[in-house]
Amino acid sequence: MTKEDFKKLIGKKIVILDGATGTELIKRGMPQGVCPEQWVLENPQAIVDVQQGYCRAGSDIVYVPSFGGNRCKLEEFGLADKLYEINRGLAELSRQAAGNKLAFGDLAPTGKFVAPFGEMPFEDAVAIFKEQVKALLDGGVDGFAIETMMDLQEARAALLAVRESCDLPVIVTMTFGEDGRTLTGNDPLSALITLQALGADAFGCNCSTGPQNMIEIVRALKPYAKIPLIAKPNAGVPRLLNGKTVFGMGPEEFGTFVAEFAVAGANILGGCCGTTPDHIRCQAEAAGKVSPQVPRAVIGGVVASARKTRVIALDQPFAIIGERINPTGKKALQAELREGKLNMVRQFASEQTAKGAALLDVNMGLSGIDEKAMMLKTLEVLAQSCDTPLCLDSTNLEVMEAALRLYPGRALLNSISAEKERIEKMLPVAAKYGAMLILLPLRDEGIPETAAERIEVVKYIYEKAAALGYEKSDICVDGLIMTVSSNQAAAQVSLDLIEWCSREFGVNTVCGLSNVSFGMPQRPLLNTAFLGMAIGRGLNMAIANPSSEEIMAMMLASDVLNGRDRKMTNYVRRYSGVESKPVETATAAEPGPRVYNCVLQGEEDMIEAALRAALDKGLTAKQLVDDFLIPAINRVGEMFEKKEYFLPQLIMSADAMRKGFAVLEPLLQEGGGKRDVRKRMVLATVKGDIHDIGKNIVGLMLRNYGFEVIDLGKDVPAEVILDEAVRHQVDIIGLSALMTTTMTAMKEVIALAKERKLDNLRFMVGGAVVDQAYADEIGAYYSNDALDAVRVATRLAAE
Amino acid sequence: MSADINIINIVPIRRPDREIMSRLGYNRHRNVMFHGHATRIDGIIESGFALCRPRGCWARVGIVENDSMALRLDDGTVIESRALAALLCDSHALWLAAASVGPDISQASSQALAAGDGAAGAIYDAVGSESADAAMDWLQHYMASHLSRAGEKLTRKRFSPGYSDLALAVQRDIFRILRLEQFGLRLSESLIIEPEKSVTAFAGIEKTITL
Repeated sequence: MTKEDFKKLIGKKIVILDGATGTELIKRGMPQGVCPEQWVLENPQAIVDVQQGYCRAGSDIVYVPSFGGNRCKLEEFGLADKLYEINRGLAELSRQAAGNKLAFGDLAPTGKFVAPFGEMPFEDAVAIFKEQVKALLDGGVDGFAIETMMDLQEARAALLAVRESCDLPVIVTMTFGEDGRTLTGNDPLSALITLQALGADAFGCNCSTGPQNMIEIVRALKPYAKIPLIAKPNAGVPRLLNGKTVFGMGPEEFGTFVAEFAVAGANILGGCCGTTPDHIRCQAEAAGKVSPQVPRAVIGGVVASARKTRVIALDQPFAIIGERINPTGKKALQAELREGKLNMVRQFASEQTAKGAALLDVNMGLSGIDEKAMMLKTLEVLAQSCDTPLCLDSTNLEVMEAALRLYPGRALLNSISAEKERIEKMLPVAAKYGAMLILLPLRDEGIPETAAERIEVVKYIYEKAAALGYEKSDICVDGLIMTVSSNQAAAQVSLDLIEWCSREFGVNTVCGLSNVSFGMPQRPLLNTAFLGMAIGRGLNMAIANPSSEEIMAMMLASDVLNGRDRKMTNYVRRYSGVESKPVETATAAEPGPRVYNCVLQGEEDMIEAALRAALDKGLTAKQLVDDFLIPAINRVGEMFEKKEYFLPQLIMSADAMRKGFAVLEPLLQEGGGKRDVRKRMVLATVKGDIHDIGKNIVGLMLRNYGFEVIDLGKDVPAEVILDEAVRHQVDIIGLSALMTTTMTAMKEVIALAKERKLDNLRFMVGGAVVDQAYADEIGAYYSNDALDAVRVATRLAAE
Repeated sequence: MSADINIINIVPIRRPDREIMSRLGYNRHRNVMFHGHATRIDGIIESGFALCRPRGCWARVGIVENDSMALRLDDGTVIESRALAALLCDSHALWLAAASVGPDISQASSQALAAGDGAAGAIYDAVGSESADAAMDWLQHYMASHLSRAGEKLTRKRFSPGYSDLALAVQRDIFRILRLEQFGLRLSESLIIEPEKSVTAFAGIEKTITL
């Protein structure tokens, strides 16, 4: 079957796939725990019965029972060396059983995670699937079904394996959970955008849920789908009943969802777990009464990462492509890249995303580094830390191909020009991986001077791209801005080109914004002015720094004024204040209450100013301590006790208190009203234990309440604790331990103290596994949280 | 017999806000939250979560014998625990897993505390702990889904060394079977895992029947 035949079939009817195979084989005697693929070959009549049953019920396509036929799965049964015979044999059996219906080779997860998410190199995954594809092809399959995929990158590997092995149709279904994502976090739209760009002939979902949930997924995908959509649901949501998995939906009910699936936009239906030939019969009968919708995307121009999509279109909000992951002119980044480090790359990605970048440009062009290796490493790092889709930026064909192959999404490629090598070599590579394109109106002879000449170049490149399947929605033309410092007319040429592209030709336009001001003083002024002018002529993307408040403001305000920001959501979100309903506010009018509120609300940054204002108004340091700081921290303690405050709020208030005392301390000393400095104490996490967060928080709180704390750190031997206590003339020791294996060291410290006759020492203990009973047992005082520790220490210090 | 180790370098967890807040003692019915508090706490959680690198690995090992006192695995390992043996009474294999969010979040917590920012220190610590737990939850959920295709299921409960009568020393067995040193974890003499924000767990694999 050719891809064209497949398209024709889809155009005629709702195509029906098969239903569950495993459970049907179990009904025919397949025992649990065996390798299903091998068992089928040993019991061929069973699969012939199952598949002929499905064909009679109305299936147009049955899946070869090669779900677990990849090397990784067969290895679990010691059958990897029989991979070819098994897959080829299964394909021949299904081909024969299907008769005049179609048999698609089934490719399913390997059970391993593919890079960048897992350890298996991407090319190893492609090779594993290619090995299976070859055997299935030799067995005569009519096409391929990649199914039950939980990870987009593995689905990409399988799809590439098929596409690089044959021209047969290949359909892909993934498994989305109740949260609408695969287990690895891929959402259906990112998966559709990525896989249809990569050449899938149909996309959809199978398994995990029943029909109702899948209808919603199909409905949501339909506006974006250029290819047919598939739904292969379970017979309802599985339930576990007395250790048995039960699918409760009967055949008739299963068939009632067909009409709704058709309205939602599904072109291919079938069944997964729990379905039988009867389910498929009901489905096929219902499908015969409805007409399929033609696959036709109404929303184009979508880029995707593995977990996030972004529509780029003339009627959509302006898209900033973050420019910072590019070593040009950035010495610190250059130095990092030369050392093979990517900390700044990660930081730039995070910052630009937070500032509102729609995409991130990634350019690793730098002398002295292996650009390809660094680009691939960057993609791995960004896959871990950032969901924002990427714009891959390189002039090197090898780098670009490697990056497009590995990138687990649909990238924007920066860029394709009319230069011979770009058109002949890079454009087909971009088309193979389905990347969106930035078109650069540039020829081998150089940059055309006039807008009219540049327009001709744009038309030429687009014609070449269209021949490879590109549509206008996949294209972004670079306005090719030159600096006005060398040619003041340069801006006008770019603006004319932008206007023609957006208003007449109907494609997206983009510009490297800062180019316009190169060599000029006060560059942000020119950049922002040009951006406003270009947006007025139709520009809808810019490569720029989203940290520039001027640029982001211009972008957001323009989106409101030209109607791209529907309901003005983005603008309002950015610029309207967040409503808060404070019970008490740090901005009380009177200086004293303002100090009180600073402690109460943990406003460490505001307390110094509040105290200075209060002092200026004539309040004394002692008054501020006695009438406002102490009452405030006492109120905080009450709120913590009542669970009106939780730990971070308690600490924030204590931090504000400490800072307040630091401001007032010199004044208190001058006035002879020095704060009562209580005793010192030693704190330590005991020998063998490295968990010290609890001890550190207790230390912080004690300091904030006026204690001098000698913190010995973690994993501290008993001898050291006691030596330090003696050296500092301390008689309170706080000990912390988190583990049952280390809490015993507390007892050892106390025993050693007795041995050394250090009878003046009192011990406080705390930690996750410590309780009052243990404290009593070893002769220590127990505190159950940081505030309690302050209370106990205060009591001990007063004794 | 050495186990087949599966590794995932990016465990796709969502930010476990509810668990982080709960760990820090937040009570949504009683808490009084000022706007400044909320903004700051959310900002710290966000920056902390960005420092977490959730990774995981797991393996399955056959159970040769379960005499209700101890388990004997097909690689010869013997794990003594009545509680674990009871949990795995219907299991024919053991699932062992480790999850870690790496060292950065703990370092950030220590640095914040050293700089006197106790709130950030405490929150980073909670973010690290809960993110590691969320990664383990994800591994368990993934494995359960994976097994269901093969007519198997995972016990809903999981067990870690130190729970009930399962000795902490069993960490050594987990480290050996999962080859966790190669995964980037270390086990101290006092059986503490480094990086600190790492967890290990067991669950049982049982056969199931689909109707």
